[in-house]
Amino acid sequence: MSDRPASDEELLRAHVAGEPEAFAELLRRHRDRLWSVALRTLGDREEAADALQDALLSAHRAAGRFRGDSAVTTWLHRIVVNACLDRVRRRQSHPTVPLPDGTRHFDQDSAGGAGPEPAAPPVDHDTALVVRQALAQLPAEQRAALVLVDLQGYSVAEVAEILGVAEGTVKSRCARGRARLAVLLGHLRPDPGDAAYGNPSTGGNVTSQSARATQEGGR
Amino acid sequence: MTHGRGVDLDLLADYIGGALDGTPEAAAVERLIADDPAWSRAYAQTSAAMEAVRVDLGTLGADRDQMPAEVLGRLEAALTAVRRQESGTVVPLAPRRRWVRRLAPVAAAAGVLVLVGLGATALWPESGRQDVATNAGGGAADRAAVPDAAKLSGGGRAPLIAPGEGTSQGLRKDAESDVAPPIVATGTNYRRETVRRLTSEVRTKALAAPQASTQMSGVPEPLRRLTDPAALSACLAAIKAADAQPATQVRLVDLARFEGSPAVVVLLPDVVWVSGANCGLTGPDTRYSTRTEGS
Repeated sequence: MSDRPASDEELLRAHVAGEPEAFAELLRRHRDRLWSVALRTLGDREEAADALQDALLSAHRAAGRFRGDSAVTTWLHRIVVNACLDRVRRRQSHPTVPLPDGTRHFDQDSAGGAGPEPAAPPVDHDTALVVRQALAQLPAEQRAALVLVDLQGYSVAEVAEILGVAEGTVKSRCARGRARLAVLLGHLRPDPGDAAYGNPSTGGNVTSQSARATQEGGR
Repeated sequence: MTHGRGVDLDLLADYIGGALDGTPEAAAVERLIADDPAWSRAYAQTSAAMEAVRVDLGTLGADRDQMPAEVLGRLEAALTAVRRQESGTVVPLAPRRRWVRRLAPVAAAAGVLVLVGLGATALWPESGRQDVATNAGGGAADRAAVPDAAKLSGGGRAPLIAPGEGTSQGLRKDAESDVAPPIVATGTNYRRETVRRLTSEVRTKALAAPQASTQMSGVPEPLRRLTDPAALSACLAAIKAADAQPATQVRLVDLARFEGSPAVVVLLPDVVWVSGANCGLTGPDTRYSTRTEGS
């Protein structure tokens, strides 16, 4: 009998076969990455925990339908990201508006679970806090793509598979997200008359038909 | 979104990010950058700014995001509950039916902290002896972190509440058994690997302990709130609800520690549930749960 640890796919199959601890082992194996994706996509600790629970219970139930066309981690990330985006869409019916001066101190809300996660202390706490705040203002689809590509280090192709969109769409979401962050973080000064920048509800003011087609493509 | 006169920043970002590669739009943007000073300037500025954003995003350090223990515990508990629900559709309830009612002695020694009081009956699992045998094969290292009979019965570490101790007020009776669960403060620091061995063996030994002089000092300070019967009832009700087994019987409560933190360790018929000091305030405050060995 080999001492080789079970692969993700073997664990998933064992879970489907009735092994009680197999799915929990999968969770423990990938917990930090899944947590990071949920936390950075939603920007709120309690929401992230809720979304992860929804996602994992869904994956737990749907494991028998996993066909092995993609890696187990890709499949898990897809379920987690979709759970996060579902929550964002539901939350948009009851939006919370950040303070206009951008000085909201999210960490103060952590006790009530309303504010973004105060993550482990970064090297530069102030910069990280500002970046987190700016990231939270992006449209959810742009934020999810940026989290997966720029924070998690997944390739564009992998993220396209996770999000179920074309690679061009992932590139567009990331590029527009970075441009919007550049404005929010003060690296770029857009046309002062443009009301769209910094307003996450607009999701970008695309004037180009082909660019719109790129953004819509693959959905 | 625009940048300067007539510059579409989204389109420019798409171009910089490679989203337009291979499309006619890319060639059009290239011409604009080459011919229009506003586009040319915006291209230079935006390219540099987007690169600066990549550096900024690096400060978030996704590799430093670690799932908090309480979140992991909550997720594992949810998965355990689902497993139990699923297995409940195919597993007969025979083990529960093996429980029989027996009389248990009323512990009324001086110094015993009587937190609850109910009738003088208790339920003892006939399967308790089987559990002892089942767990006899556990590794010594693992078992070292599980309270043994000596620890439970000696040195003031015995039950805070023996089953059937009685005053008219106290912990709500278990719906199925009509007895309050025994509550101990063993001082144990449980670990993930060992908590599942908190089985009926331990419960049996705990309840078999002589009339011990239990001391409040054995209860971690953050858990003192839970020595109030109402608070503990709320905590156990929250755990049962989270476990989707509202009528299940609590077989033992240990006001102890889990991985270094004060924790309420609750033994259910086939699950050990670990909750934090806020158990019962807004929910079970779950830290961890697992099936007991042999269940």
